[in-house]
Amino acid sequence: MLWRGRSLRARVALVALVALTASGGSAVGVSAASAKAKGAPLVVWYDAARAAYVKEYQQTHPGANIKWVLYSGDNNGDGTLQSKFALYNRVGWKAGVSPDVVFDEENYEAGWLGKAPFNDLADLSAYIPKSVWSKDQGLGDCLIDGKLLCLRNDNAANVLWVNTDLWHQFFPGQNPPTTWAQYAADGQSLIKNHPGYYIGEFGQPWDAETYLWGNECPINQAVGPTTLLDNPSSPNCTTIAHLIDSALGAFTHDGPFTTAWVQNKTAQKMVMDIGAIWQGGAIYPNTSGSNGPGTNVMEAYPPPVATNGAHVTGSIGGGLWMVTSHSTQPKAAAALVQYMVTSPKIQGDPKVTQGLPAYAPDQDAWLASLKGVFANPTATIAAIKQAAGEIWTGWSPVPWSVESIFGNTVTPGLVAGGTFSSALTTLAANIKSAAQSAGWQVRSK
Amino acid sequence: MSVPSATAVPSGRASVRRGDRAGGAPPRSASGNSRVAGYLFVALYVALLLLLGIGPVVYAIYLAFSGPGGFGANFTAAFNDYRFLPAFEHVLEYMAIWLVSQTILVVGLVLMLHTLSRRIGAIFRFLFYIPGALAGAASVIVWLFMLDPTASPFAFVLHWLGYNSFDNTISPGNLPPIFAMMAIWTGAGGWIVVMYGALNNIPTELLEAAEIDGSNGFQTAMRIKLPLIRKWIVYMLVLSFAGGTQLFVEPTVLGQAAMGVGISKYWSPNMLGWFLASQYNQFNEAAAISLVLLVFGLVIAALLVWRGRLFEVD
Repeated sequence: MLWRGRSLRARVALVALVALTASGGSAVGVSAASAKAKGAPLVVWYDAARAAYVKEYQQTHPGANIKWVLYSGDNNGDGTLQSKFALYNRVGWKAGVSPDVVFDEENYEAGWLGKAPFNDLADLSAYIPKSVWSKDQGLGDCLIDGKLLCLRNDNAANVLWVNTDLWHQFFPGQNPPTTWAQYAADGQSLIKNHPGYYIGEFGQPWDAETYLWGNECPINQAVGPTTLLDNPSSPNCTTIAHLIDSALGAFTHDGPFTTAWVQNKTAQKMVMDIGAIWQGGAIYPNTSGSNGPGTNVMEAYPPPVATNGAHVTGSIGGGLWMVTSHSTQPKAAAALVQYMVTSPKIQGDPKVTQGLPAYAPDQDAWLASLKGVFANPTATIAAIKQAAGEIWTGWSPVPWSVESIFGNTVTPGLVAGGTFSSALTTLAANIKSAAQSAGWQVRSK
Repeated sequence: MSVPSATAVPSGRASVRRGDRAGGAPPRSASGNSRVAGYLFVALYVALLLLLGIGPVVYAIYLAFSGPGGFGANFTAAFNDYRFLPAFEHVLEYMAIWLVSQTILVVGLVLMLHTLSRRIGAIFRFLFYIPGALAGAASVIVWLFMLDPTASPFAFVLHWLGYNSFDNTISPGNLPPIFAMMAIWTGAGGWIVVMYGALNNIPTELLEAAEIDGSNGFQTAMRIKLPLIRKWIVYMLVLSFAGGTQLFVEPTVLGQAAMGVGISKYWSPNMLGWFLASQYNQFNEAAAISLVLLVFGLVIAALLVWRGRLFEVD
C-alpha cells in the first residue's frame, strides 16, 4: 500500500476496472539493464504510479528489450501477485510471458512471495553489490532469512505531522509531543477544550503499523524462518494501547481516503497525525480531492519516542522491487531494479517519484523539493531524515496481512465503541491463527 | 441466476397451436431435420457443460482427494481451518434472511400483481425486473453508494438507523442482511416474471369456478393460485440455494471498496476456497471446500425436490 490517495469514487472505479493492461514494449539492450536484444524480452510488471519511472527508463534506455505490463500493483493487498504466481507455479513460468521484475505496493509481500509455499523471489544480493543495497533504507522488509528478496523503492517511515496553525492556537507556547504519553495528554486536552479536533486517525487497517510497529510491539515479529513472536502482553503493546484508549475521543475513525474524510473536511481538523512521510503531501493539500488545510501549514516532527525509550518508528506502505526466481535473465532483471531504485533521474526527481527515496544518496535532491511545500522546511526535512533511519526492524514481512487482520478485528470493535486494549488480544489471536495456518510456529515469549 | 423464460408456462394460444400440430403428422424429413437441429443446439450446451461444468468438477474431485496429505487429509485440513466454520455461518445466516425474505416478497408481490390489470401488471413487472439487468459486481457498486452515509441518496435513513460512516454501516453483523438485500434487489424481479407466467398458466375456468363458489381474492390467491405455483417456488428455492452458497462477488467487491475494513477475504466458503488456492497455493484444500459446497447444495436441492414433489407429474 504505497499510495492510498483515493476517494470512494476512485476506489469504486478502481474496483470496477480489473486493471491488468499490457503496454507495448520497446527493444534493444543497454548497459544498465542488458536485457537480451534477441530472444525473450524482460517482462516488468509495474503499477500506475510508476508510469513515470517507465517513461524515464525508456528515454534513457532506448531499444531495451522489455515488455512493460501495467497491473494493479497489488494495491491494498488485493492478492493479484499471489494469485498470478500461484497460477504460474501450476502451469509453469515462461520467459517473455511470466514476470521477471515486479513492483509491489505492499511492503510485507517479499515475505509472502519469497517464502514457502511460493519461494518465487530471487536473492538480489547475488547480483547487486552490498555497497549499493546497504544504502537502501527500510530493508527490514527485504532481508528475509539471510536473503535480499527485494529493494525498497521509497521510504515510508512515520513522522508526526503537525498543523502549525492549529497547534499554536490550541497549545500556545507548547512544543508538539515527543513521547506517546505527551501525545495522549494532548489528546485528552483536545477532548476537553476543543472537541471535534483530532490528534490522529485510528481504525484504518494500517494503524497497526502506526501505533504498534512504532512502539516496538512484538506482535508480528519473525524470530526464525517460520517462527513468530506474538506477545500482546508485552508492555510495548499494552502501554501504547492504554495510552491511545485514554484519548480515544481525539481520534477520528474515518480513513483519510474516504468520502467522509473529504466531506467532513477532517484534514482541517487534524491538529496532528502520525503518518508516513508521503502522507504529508497526500492528505493535507487544500485541493477539492483532499479538502485539507494546505501543506504550507503542516510541519513534520520526529515521531514520539517509544514507551520503552527507543527511538523507533513504524512505516506505512512503501513499494518494493522484486525479481522472480524463475527469471531466465536474473542479472538484467536485477540491473533494472538497481537502476529504478538508485537512479537520481528517477529517485532524485520529485516529478517522477512521489515518496522519499529509500536509497539514501538520492534523498537530499528529493528533500530539497519540499522547500516551499511545508511549514518550516528545514525542520521538516530534518525530522523526515531522522525518521527515515529509525524504522523498527522487528515488524516482519510475513505471509499474511496484518493490515487485513487489523481491519477485520480491531476496526469493527472500535466502530462499535470498543477500546484498543480490548481488541489487542483478539488481534494477536487472529495473527496467531493466520500464522499457524500458514505453517508457522507461534510463541508468546 | 438465469431463469429460462421459455420454460415459463405456455400461453393458451400456444396450447391451441400445439393441438393443431398434433392433429396432422408432420412430414418425415422435417422431423429428421428438426432432430438434427435439436442435437446441434444441445451439442453446444453439452460441450460447454463438459468443458466448464463437469470438467472442473472432476478436476476438483481429483484435487480434493489427492495431494501430499493423502486421502481425506484435505477435508480434515479444511474442517480444522479456523476460517471454515465462520465462513459457513456467514453464508447460512445470509441465506436464511435472503431465501425467506425473497420467497415472501416474490410470492406476495406476484399474487398482488396478478390481480391488477394486464397493462399495469406489465409495468410493475418491468420495474421489478430492471435491477436484475445489473450483473453482480455492478449491483455492488450501486450499493456502495447506497450504503455510504456521505454519498447515499438515502443517507437520512442510514443516519436514522444510527449509521454515520461507511464502516459503521458495513459492521460485521450487518453484512448478511446487506448481501440479502443486494440479492433480492437483483434477483427478485426475474422470479416475479417467472411466477407471473406460472400464474397465467392457471386455467381461467378454475379461477372462474372459484369465484362462482364465492371465493374472494385472498382466498383464491391462497387456496388456488399458491398451491398451483408451489413447484415454481420450490424451483426458485433450489436455484437460489445453489447460487447463494457460492456467494463471492458481493463480499469481495465490498471488501475491496472498504479497503479491508470489516470484511475478510474469506468471509464466505467460496471466498475461503479462492483465498487458499490463490493466496497460499493450497489448491487441494480449496477443492475440498468446493466439494463440501457442492455436496451441501446437492443435499438441500434433493431435499427440496423430494419434499416439494418437483418432478411429480400432476
